Amino acid sequence: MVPSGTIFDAYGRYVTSGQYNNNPSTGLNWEYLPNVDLLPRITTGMSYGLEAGFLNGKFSTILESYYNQIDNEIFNIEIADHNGFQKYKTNYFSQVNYGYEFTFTYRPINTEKVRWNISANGGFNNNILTRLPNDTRQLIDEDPNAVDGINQNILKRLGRNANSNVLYHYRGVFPDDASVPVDPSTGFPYYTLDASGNKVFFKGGDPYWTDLDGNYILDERDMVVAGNSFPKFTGGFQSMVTYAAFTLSFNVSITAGRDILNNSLAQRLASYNNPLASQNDAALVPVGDYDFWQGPGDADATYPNPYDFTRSEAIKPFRFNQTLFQEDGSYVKLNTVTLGYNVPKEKTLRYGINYSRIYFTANNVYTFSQYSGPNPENVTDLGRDRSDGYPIRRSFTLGLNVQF
Amino acid sequence: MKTKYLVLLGLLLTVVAGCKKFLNVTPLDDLSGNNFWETQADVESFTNDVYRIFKDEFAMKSAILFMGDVRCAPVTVGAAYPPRGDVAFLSKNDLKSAIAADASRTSPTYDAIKEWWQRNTRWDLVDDWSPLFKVVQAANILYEEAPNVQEKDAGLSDKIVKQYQAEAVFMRCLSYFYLIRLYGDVPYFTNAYNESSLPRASHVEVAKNCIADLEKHRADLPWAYPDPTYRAIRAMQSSALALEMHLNMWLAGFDKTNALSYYQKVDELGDVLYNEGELGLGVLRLYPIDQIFTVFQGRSQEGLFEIPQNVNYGLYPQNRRMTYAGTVIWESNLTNNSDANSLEDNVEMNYMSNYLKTLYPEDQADERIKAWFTFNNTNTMYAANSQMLKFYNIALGPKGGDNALSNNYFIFRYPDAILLQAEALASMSVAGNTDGSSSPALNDKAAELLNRIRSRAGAPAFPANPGDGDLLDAIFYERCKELMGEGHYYYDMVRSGKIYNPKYNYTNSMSYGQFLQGAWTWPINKKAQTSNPLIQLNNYWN
Repeated sequence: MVPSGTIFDAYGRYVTSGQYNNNPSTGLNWEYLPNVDLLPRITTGMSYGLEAGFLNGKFSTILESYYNQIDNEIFNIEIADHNGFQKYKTNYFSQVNYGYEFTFTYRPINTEKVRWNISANGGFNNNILTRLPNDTRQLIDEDPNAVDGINQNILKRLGRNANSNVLYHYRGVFPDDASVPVDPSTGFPYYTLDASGNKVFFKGGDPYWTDLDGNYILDERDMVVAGNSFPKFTGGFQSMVTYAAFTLSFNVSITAGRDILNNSLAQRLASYNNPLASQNDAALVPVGDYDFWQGPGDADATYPNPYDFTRSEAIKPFRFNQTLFQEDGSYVKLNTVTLGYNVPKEKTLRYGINYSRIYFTANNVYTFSQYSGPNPENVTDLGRDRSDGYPIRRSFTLGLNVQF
Repeated sequence: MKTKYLVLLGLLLTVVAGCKKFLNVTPLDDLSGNNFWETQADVESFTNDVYRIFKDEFAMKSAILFMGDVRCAPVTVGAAYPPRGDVAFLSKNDLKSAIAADASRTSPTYDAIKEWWQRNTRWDLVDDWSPLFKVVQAANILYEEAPNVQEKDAGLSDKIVKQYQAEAVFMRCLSYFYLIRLYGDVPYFTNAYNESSLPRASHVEVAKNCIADLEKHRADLPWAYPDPTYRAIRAMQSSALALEMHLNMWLAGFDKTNALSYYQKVDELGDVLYNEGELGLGVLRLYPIDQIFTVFQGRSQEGLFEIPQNVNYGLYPQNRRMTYAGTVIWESNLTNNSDANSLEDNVEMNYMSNYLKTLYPEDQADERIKAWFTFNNTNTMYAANSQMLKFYNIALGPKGGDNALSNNYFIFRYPDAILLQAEALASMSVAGNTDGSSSPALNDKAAELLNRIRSRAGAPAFPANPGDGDLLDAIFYERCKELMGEGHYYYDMVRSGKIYNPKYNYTNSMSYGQFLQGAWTWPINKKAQTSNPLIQLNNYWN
């Protein structure tokens, strides 16, 4: 049991609000309705483990299977406006995490001169939503960082992973105007509505998003549940070899089965939608190296036309919430490699040094990944790649340890 | 062995004490409810906030209180330029046009001449009912928390707690009164910290619940406050009586099968007001007509409930065009340092002259003409640029500027309650005629009450005009005259059904069919449906 929320969540936040009849007044600030029944978060866990060693410790393993139920998590919901307050922190959010974890250690060689340790660990994790506020079966968790009305919302549905993305399904680019589907009943081509409710028809070079409900109008009813940002597998691999005075070690980390929304690429392409704007992130970085639509008839471009800025405000070809920018975020990363040499004691003792070691370490050596962005590791918890962070640097260290 | 237990007990005690201290965190930035409700001063300052929300977030954000005087009313757009288009829309009950005008002035189709008034009146905000529900929620919280403070502040007596609770009940019921008159059916709740989504409850049921609620708590309110600046500004017993009378009259209009019992109730409440308030305690009285201007400055013994305004303390509506007074007085008299420009000697809203001739027959004496319609010794009341000076601070003379509008907003006034009682009696006499009840006695009492208002104003007693000898009509017109600019006209028409009668509705703005479909309500903002699937909007408008 862990207390959750602040004292304000339970009792309300009182602020000086103004005055009435020349007397000061103090009232609630009307953002969060106090939840007088706020409960502590309760985690109920169960795990089975197996620890075993074979062949005189040459091979050992720990296997574990776990099941954690987390109840009474705080979840913000919007409440009906007749309650005066805007939001409410409920307790009615539960999820279950279950999976398997393992650790293997193997010592293939263990002699006086040569020693080699290999170990691997990892976990298969599953996450499932089991309860939502008001006993609803699903709800959309609105993106708090929505830009320009484009929300990267998250679907919360019972029995599913708690971090499922809701996106438009991208099928490709319309090669020309003639290839835009036309509604046989109205004669209108496939269209969407702009901010003031006018029809904007799709043309060649525009993205083709699946019209899920088949009404020839693209709107938020056409969104699909696709991908999630919660890794199915995380793990690592370590190795260390000692040969006489030399040691060589490295470790590898692995993340698999999660999706990344490449917002930085979307932003980079979308900056041409409003080329004259003076915004913070509107630097016009060349996009010539991307395979975008070149002109009528270009049927196999990967990206839609970035230069059609007169219509892009309505079409939003590079909206963040589409499958075009969702990529496999699995990676295998070689984190560190270290080569060390222990200088023999007898050579140094006469200088008053009883221990010395020279080593060379490389950090962030290489990442094996299908992801097209700079680094699949450097993304937010929800799997969005933001363009406004610094990359993780690759560093090399040459070091000397001396003990007198 | 004994010491062992003692040590154990001591340990336990320290743990308990430490735990309590740990849980009662004192936050540094703001107060939490755990630290706020400690003394009577806290309850007082929260009570102030309940009133403040009503004033700042509901009454002063838009022209909402002015609506009662302009909607479906016999008014025309004054000669001031640019013209007040909203007056035309409201008087025709064309709410969609009144709401559609763009207050932000940014839409590509923005028409500066046709839509300029929206920025000043904000009719587009009236469809949001949440400010009134904030008052309800805050009043409910006050009602629940006030008794808990007694544990911490021994000086807080039961009587004071009950008074705070009664004030909470009054403000809750006043908010519901506005809610049902504006939107019809509304969600109803009286529990503190309500978070559940509710469907709309019938406005008749809401009014009945409010009456029951007020009956229970009315006696806990004071007739008068020791501090005279609180008079009519904080709820008094007379405020609650007036509210109950209004709610009963509303019910008599919509729950017609039980109308008689509601009229009886209004009569009883009116008697309490007279016998206890005026005769017994002497806290209520009608001012002589030559002192009536002091009534509109506020805090008088004629006021039953008012929203305070004071230019000196920055208490005034965000825009004078949101108010009745700022619409019916020449701009040159309200603008500071204005040069005498003949164009500015025009009003933004005018009454139709045939309507004013009905209210004030031309050959008839009435001191109110002099008090309210005469400027520089000239009565221009039937002219196109006539001013209505009821709320103008005449002591400042012409060109008084902003300061001349430092009148209070009137919610209830003693003549309002007197005329309501008269109306109830006259209606009872008409409704009761079938079973041969003593209608002459009822009529006499009604006429007597009506004549109190008339004689105070120096007008001839009933059966003189207006009303052509019909008592109910005479009372209705007297309400129009006496309460002009106090936001009652439209709601009187709605509850009495006169709104769909062309004899009374000078703009023919609502038919009986439209009335039944809910044309008398105001549209509800779509955001009421967010997180609440139980809400259906007003079908006539939405």
